[in-house]
Amino acid sequence: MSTLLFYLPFLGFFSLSSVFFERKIAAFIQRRIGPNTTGYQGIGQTTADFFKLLQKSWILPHQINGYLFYLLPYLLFILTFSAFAVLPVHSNWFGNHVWGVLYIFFVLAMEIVLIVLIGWISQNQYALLASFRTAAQMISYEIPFSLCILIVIYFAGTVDLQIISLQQSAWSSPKIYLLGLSATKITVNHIGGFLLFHVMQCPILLLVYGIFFITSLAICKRAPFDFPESESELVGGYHVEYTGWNFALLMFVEYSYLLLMSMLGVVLFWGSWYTPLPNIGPYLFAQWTSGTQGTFSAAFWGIFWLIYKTMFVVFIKMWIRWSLPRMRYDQLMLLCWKKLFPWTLLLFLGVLFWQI
Amino acid sequence: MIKNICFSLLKNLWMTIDYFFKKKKKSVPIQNEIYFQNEQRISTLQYPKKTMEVPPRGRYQLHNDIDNCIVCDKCVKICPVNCITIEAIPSPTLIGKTKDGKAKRIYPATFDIDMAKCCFCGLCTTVCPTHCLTMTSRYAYSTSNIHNHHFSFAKMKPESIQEKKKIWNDHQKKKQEEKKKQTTITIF
Repeated sequence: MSTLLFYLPFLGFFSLSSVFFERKIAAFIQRRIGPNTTGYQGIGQTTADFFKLLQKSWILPHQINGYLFYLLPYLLFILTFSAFAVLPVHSNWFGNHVWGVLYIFFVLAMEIVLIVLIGWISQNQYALLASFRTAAQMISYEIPFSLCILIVIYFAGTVDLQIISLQQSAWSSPKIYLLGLSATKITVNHIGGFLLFHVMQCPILLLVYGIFFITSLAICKRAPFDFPESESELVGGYHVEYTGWNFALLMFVEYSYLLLMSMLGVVLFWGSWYTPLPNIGPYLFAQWTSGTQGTFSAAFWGIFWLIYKTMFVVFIKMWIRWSLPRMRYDQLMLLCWKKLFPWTLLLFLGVLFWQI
Repeated sequence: MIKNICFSLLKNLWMTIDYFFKKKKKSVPIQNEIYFQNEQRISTLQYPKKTMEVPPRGRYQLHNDIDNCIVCDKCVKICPVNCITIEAIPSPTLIGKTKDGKAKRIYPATFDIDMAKCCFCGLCTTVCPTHCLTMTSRYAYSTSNIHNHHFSFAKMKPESIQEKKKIWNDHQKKKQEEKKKQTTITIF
């Protein structure tokens, strides 16, 4: 239910606003003004673009199975959207799935199949090549990505994202020690704030999050790993043949992936819906900014912190997109297999030793 | 090596975030002295609202001041792309004088310049003896119809063209008759 009631409207709002903010961020970084004619400071630009895309004609290329051609974007969107079902919204509202992260693995694996199908059904060599490129990139990057999540699953002892979130809050039932070291015998449950996050419970997870972040950039198909599209060099990626509304759907999927990956990182590493402000002496920031569990205040603060943290990660991803140049394809594969993969395994060992 | 890579990446990111947060000043044209000072200015121009300042001797659209034109046909001959077409009607008498005192003896029935063909070499302006054909600083004249690039500078009405042609033809006939008379006189 949380998916339909909360995430669907939020996703629509997010993909419209994030395209606008991405253009604005790019403009400010490159000393431009950005869209500024539609509405105040161009705020209605993406909405106008969206309605323009709705009016565009649907061009069906020669010798194509139209049913499948028009069905696949919807399938891809439904699949991606269903991944939000396992994400928590706040401390009392969640998808309640025992599969949790495993379902996100499934979605990622299925997405590759659908992308290859889209490239294949388009009857276009370039689309086919781009879909293979995407598949190769995503399959390779899913290995360090999955390993990173596996480390967190091992650390938390569960795959349910709501329980993982609870364990990073002041309401977690097992006592949380400072930096996860039980030898210090300092519990931080009453202090709250960022000290309870997974990255603070075990600082090695900070490095794991670094790898998670890089791989999630590659899985979102964003710069510096945007080979599927290579915006400045190629005409387009696996969706060359799509026009109008179908193209809008595919772009929608890309931005929902951006949201999904940012949110997953926040839930797994950065305390999900829990406040980052700690209690300092008489100032009970953590209690003030997290509310009492089960009431409206907790719901409000939960949604606020989850979205706030996610938007911060999204901003960093946009910032990186407009700062770093695209890598070469062999460098991409080298980074994945020779650097990230062994490092994740090493970090797994590190987390194991930290727990001892 | 990893340390080097990380350091350069962070430096790059720091530079862009610096650009992001700094307040940008308004852009200035390149003629301005402060253009080359390393300041954070907006590098783009809001084109239809503001236009770039054109240098004082900008060589863009051609313009012919038809009142000063003596229809010498030099520009037509030198044009490498044949974009100027002139139809001239000579006159038996002096029409008038140009600003710099040259005698006008030919009426320009048509003086058309096809700016779609023009290659902006400026040769026609250099050969022009009266400096009536000039390049102006107007550059934004693109349209959806290519015939709008065909500029006519002649001001003559069709009736007056007919009239002047008739006058010239009559003059020619008179001359020929005179010539015949002269030849007959010399023979006899």
